[in-house]
Amino acid sequence: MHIGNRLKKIRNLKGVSQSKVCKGIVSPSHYSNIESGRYEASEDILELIAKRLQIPSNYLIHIHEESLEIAELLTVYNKYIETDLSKANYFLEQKQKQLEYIQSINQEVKFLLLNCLHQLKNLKIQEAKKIHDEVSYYIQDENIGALSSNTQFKFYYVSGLLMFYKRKYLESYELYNKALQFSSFDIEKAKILFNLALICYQINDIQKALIFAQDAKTCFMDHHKWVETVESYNLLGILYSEIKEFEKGLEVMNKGLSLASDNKMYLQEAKILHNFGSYYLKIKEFDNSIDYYKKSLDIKHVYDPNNVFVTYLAILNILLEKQDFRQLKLTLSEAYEYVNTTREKYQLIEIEAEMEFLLFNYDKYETQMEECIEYYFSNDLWKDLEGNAKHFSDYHLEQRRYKKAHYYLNIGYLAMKKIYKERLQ
Amino acid sequence: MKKLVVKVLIISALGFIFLAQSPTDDSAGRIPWDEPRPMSTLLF
Repeated sequence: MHIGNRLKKIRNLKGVSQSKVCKGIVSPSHYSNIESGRYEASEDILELIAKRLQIPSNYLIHIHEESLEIAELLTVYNKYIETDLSKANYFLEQKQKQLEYIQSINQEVKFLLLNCLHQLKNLKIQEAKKIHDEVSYYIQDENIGALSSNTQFKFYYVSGLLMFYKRKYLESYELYNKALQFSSFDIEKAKILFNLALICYQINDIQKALIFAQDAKTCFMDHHKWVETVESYNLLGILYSEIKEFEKGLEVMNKGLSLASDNKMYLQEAKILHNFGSYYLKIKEFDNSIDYYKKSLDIKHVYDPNNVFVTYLAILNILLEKQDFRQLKLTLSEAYEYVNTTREKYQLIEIEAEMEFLLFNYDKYETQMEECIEYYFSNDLWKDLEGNAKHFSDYHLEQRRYKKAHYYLNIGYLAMKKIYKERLQ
Repeated sequence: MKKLVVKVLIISALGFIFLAQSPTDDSAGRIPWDEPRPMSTLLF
């Protein structure tokens, strides 16, 4: 990592061309050599460039000198990201000025990786992507091998996480595998194994997911990491249910539930109660299912209000299945208050559309379903798309609108191909 | 008329492939699991 990386980054972020930056200071070819790392620039030249780019000259000089103060800030920031996101948000706001131009490249990269992790945890994926792009000015395929194994680990780990949230599961899988090679602690390894299990679950490779999740759980248990152990039981419960090994699913979920409720892990308890609901939904015991979802909601409303949406969505699915339209309408309007993302908004519109279909209000069904499919399609949400496109195609076929039937059948077929591609690659 | 028959046949064939290859054999419809989020770790 050299000064050229930093010059290129700041120049691109400010949208200035090479020739404009160096005009009257050095020749364009000389400047280009500085950016590519072939020449080192003198302090005088760097000061002039800093002035031109309207940045503090320190940001271009002594770029390998680390500051104790920044090191301390990064440690605190990291601790907040892991323990309390609202504190991390506040911290970033307060320290923004000090962290805007970090002199040492090494420390700046550390900060950017943390900031990327922070935005991912806030589910601000676009923001995280932008920050990761900044890291890419410093860390590239050509120089990554020369960096310390610790830096490589951090880079692969955060990049893997970003790719997961961008739903690029195979890239994420590869990055985590690389991170695994450079991790030095058991807990780090276990967390990566857990994330690998999640990727395999997303791409429907449940058998592989089970192996990763089991290994992660064993490691967490050995190290008495109980929150993570419960999270692993939760994941194992989902995985067993997905392959219809219901007894095993129930067994691990019960273990997780008792561990969570004995140790007052409310977030995890609510999550497992929700999944008991989904478990009973899967075996079509609707009343049992709804009871568990309600228990989960009670806890979530107090301890985890940001995560109530998924439970509302589950309850709506049951009400739809039971065709309890009165209750469905009431719950729908309640659920709209807890929507966090655009995708969630469309998931509710989709439920509404299906309700209108069952009520024979075909005009409303058509408009709403068309809207949903368009949104899912333009955002590559293949799993959301698949069943809906097929249903919509069948509907048009029945109405003898062959062109539309064909169009939506194709979309559904494409979605399926994409889902398969994710799985097989 | 012929064109229409061909269209219907194509659509039915595609539909058949669709059903035959459906990866999510979920008789209970969508199951909204409360999925775990990926874990992160202290980096510093």
